[in-house]
Amino acid sequence: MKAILLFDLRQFARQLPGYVILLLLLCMGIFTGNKFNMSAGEGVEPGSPYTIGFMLGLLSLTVIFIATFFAIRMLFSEWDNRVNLLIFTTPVRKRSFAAGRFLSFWLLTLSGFLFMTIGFVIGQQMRDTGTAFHFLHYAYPWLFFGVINSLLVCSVLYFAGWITQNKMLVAVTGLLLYVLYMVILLFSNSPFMAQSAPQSPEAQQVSALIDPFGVSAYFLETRNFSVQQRNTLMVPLSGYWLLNRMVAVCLSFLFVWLGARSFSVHKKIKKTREPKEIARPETASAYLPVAVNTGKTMWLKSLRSYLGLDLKITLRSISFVLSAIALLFLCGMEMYAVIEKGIRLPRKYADSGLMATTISGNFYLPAVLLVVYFVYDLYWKSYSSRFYMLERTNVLSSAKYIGHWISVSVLISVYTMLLFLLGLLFQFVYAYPRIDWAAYLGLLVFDTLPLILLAGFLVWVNSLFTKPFIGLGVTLVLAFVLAGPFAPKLLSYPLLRFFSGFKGAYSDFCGYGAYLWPFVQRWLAGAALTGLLWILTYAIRRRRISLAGTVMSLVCILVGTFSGIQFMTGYVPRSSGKQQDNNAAYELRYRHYQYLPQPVVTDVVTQIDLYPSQQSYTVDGYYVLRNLTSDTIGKVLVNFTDGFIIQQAILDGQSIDTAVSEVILRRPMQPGDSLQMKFAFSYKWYPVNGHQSFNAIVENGSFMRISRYYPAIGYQQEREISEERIRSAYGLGAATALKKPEDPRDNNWGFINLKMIVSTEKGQTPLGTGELVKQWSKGSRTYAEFSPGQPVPFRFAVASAAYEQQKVRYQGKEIMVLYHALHQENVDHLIDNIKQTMDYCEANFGPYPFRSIRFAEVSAFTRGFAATAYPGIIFMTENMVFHADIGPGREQDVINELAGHELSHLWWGNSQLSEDEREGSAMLTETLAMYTEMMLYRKMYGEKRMRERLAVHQQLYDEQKGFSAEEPLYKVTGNNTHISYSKGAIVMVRIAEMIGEERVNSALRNLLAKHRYPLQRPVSTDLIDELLAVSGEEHHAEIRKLMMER
Amino acid sequence: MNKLLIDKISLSYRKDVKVLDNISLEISNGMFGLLGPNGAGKSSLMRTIVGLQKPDEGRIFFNEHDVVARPGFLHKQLGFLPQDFGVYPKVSAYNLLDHLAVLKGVGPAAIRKKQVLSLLEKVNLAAFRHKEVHTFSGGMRQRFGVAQALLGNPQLIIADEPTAGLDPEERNRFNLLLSEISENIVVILSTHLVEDVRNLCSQMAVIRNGRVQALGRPSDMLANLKGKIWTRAIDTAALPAYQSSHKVISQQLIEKSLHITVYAEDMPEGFSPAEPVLEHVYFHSLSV
Repeated sequence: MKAILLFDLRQFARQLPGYVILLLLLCMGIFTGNKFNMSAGEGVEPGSPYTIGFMLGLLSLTVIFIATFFAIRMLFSEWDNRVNLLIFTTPVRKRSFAAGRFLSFWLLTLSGFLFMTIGFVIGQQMRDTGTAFHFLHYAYPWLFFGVINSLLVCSVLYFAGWITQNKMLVAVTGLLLYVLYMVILLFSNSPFMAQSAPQSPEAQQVSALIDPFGVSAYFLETRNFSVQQRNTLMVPLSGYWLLNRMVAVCLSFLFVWLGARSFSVHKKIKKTREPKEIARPETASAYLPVAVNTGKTMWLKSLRSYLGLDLKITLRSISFVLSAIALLFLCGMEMYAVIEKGIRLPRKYADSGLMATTISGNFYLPAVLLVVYFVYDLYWKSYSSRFYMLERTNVLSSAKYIGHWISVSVLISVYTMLLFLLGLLFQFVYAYPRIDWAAYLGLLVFDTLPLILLAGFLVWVNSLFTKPFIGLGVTLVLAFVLAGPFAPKLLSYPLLRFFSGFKGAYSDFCGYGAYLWPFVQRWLAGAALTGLLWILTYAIRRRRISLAGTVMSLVCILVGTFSGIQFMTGYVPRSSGKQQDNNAAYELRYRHYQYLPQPVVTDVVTQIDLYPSQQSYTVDGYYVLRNLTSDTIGKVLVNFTDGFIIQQAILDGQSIDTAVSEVILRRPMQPGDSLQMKFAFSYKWYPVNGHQSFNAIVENGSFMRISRYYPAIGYQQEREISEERIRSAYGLGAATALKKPEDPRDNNWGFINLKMIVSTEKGQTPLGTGELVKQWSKGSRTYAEFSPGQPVPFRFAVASAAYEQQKVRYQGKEIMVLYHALHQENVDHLIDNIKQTMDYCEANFGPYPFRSIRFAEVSAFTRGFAATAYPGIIFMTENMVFHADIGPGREQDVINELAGHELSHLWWGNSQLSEDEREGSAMLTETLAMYTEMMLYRKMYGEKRMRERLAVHQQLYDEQKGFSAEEPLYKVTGNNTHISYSKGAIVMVRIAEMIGEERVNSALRNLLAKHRYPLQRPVSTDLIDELLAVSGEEHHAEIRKLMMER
Repeated sequence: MNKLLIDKISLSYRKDVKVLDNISLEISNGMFGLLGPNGAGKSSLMRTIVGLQKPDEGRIFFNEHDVVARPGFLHKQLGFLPQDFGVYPKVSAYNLLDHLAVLKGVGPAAIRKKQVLSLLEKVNLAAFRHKEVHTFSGGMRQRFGVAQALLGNPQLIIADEPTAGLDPEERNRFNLLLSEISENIVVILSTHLVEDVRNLCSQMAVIRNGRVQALGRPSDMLANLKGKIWTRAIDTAALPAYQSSHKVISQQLIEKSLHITVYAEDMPEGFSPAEPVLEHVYFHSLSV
């Protein structure tokens, strides 16, 4: 055993490629440690023991790939090099050999991971992680993740290798381990899953037990950790994590034992099927030579022969079958998860867009690995089987390159077709039979085409080398860099990412939007470059370039250049470093404006012209600025948003043409004076830069939180850098602190009189903020004028889409729902809920401030919220809640939640209770909206169902509380949604149980009566005061505790 | 008339390992035998001629075309049977031979099928044409190799140890086949079996350490040794003494008795004259 071990290690040490591999792993580790900051929460340091632990846990996934490489290289080397008959006829014992080989395999894999870890440490130390270096913080997780995971992976591959004696099956086993892990992660308590799709405790426990990499168990064991614990404690090996690690070790020993038992010196003889009869020649005649033809027709036949042979060998192989099953399983589980969405969100309709985007998001990376392997396997098959001496002495063997490329392309197409069929199956099973072919076209464009191109490129790369494992190593690295998950970071120039897939949205409103065609353009540029590489290499080998080659090269250059230029149109390089520099410079230069009097905007008159088909809009309008201070204002700081083109801006007769301008007023504004500021600006986005979620002007279903992009007056505090370490690096002092509830109130409400005209292209309905005043058409455009009819906060949004509408009048108000024609399922139910919410809120809190309420659906290109409320209108994204499957038997009525929560914002927030930006402001909006939601839920569905929803919020709160500093509810800040939403709901329901719902509502009524605009501006303690005022003294301590303690 | 001209070919694998050293040969239609010990450079020469590796120096012409610069010209009319080759797994003999026939340029399909079946019949593999080649025994695989070397219309056949692994009957069959086809084409036969060279080849060369040691017609080489080959039986223990005093070119056990053969202009004492055979030519060439 020792002899085998030492021999293998020495062999590795003697070869240069081994050192290259270790160096590459080291570099990958440095890159990961330096560039990746998977922060689990605001207060949790990147260099904390908790973060290092799970980062190394996730990094240990790479052991799969390291181990698979070594397994293929080492487990079959005796047979590959044909020394098996020599080695195994020596006195070496089978078990000793098997044990020695396992040890060397494991140690080399572990060394690879060790180098990666060392690189990770170096990378982390190269940046400021906020924590000093502690060896144990790295060594401890390295031991329990790295060592155990590598032991487990190696043991599984070892067993697979020796029981199957098939390299491809070893590779597929590695892939299956990865798939298993990804599926388990869906059901874990991962902090990355908890926010979007938290799982039930039972699911998390099962996930923790069966996760082969132990990361799910690690998450579960730390679910109750506070921020301080995560920053200081090494996670103790206990509970589920200990159990998981013990199971992993035991399984490893089992697989090693099984593998050693399976080890055989003889290759398995496989059964072959009975072939069909081919006609025998009539007589055994003399040798008759036959003339050959090596022209183009025969070359094409050679191509076909390669294709036939490759597919005959591969498609029937168990390896292909297993890898297809693995892909189907992975994508199937992801589809299931994305439909069922865990405990927080309702089930989604299994529409084609959802299926296609789920497949695209999960198929691509495993497919890249499969492409690398199939290209390697097919390209080098003749070399590894020593057939090349027969093959390469034939002229038409030159068809091999393209033949293998086409073969791999066919395999990719088969995988795509299988996944397409899986998508259809899910649609059928989940009773959503409408097939949107445009959605599935995305599979072809975003997955199949780039993979085919990658295959062609990798065949070319392999053709540059004479040794198979060098080809494999180089293609693995190239695939990782060019098509792997880190490609966007490694290749900052977008045109170079033509081997990457696409993880964008699909919308029933506008399909893949403006992204589809540019993706094809980029692909064409990549195809042209790949073609050029092939042509030039062929010409260099032949030492001449034919006329056809010259013409094709020119075509490639033209197509590539043209497509590339088209794709890169409008490109603006983005750099987070540059943005940071700009923000720091802004603060250094303009922060003093915080202490200078500035006018406020009191009136906004504006016209917004939307051009959805061109992804652009223009804004025209003017402000009335008033000096509401008691001081003279001599200069005004005007801020425009980056990325917008200022067509015109005039203040005090002076032209403004930069994003930030200090305007020295010719005549200073006295208290009470007013000035008009005119402006006109435009915006257009280009697919190469991507779009912004809240500024999504798209072909159909546009939504823009457009007030954010209007010129702002005075110092913009939100531009400040929040991280202290970075601030001190720039020489900035302390950031502007958020006001506390007890700080003096700002009775400058900042409300405006708003009048807006929105226009859009014919066939779409323009939507603005406030009441619809009038609507008209002119030429090929549709116009609508909106005005709230009363002062509202400086916060307004617009939308535009081709809508279906449903409208009812209820209690003197107009209720309108605007939606996509295919999303009608929940409209009636929404209208019912709107009515119920309206009744409840008017009865308990006060009159609804407007004459109408509209709920408008917008495209999935807007992400980040399920719904958002503005004066008189609520916008809902199509793929979160509005178009959910809440059919009979489903437990969660999200439409009720949507209507109750969002509509109540027209009382809590917006134009009635509008708090300024300070600690606790989120409580006055979100907590009160959650309370309203819960009360409505109870009213409609009963106490039991409301309790179930509350239990979900309890779980959400428990899972999230350990990732940021705990704040008392009355001081909650906007980031801590688990407090303002979930804990807030629990606290308010608890108070209602204590003192009665009626009393709570009366407190809220009083709060509104005293603090609605334009009376005294509310702070969070006002709510506490009102609750105390309506409750008996015996409840005061509890109320204070619930509201004011952590 | 086909002609293969090898002009001062040299090849080194590393700085200090010269496998071919200034080899020049001119070979026309007929069988040409290439004899030499292991490591002499026979296989390297074969692989260089067929274009699997490029020589460091020298040129190779086939019918006046430079095939080092343009190996494709040779490949169109080449049949190559390497010493040691492999096959794809999971492919039947018929399908693999058909694939090679396509790569060779044999078409249309009906003609290709006819030739493939005919060749399988010729090498006695017709009954196994549906069997996967990777399951064949060594001898069957060698016969498959022979069949593929004859695909198309080769004008140059290079066979490296072609009868290795064949039983005597198959060897005979192969030799007859080669004899049949070699009249109008160039066949280079690299072998250890001196007997095959004697029986089949009109020209031969002996190669050692990458150099040609002897070249010519077998009959001429035999004539040169006439009257210069002597033999006697000796004790095994006395062999070193004879090796130091005589030019021993071979030794052989005949009925457990060691007989040595020496080369000398005159008969040494105690020796008797021996009729020169091709083995003597071979061993004498190696000892020069």
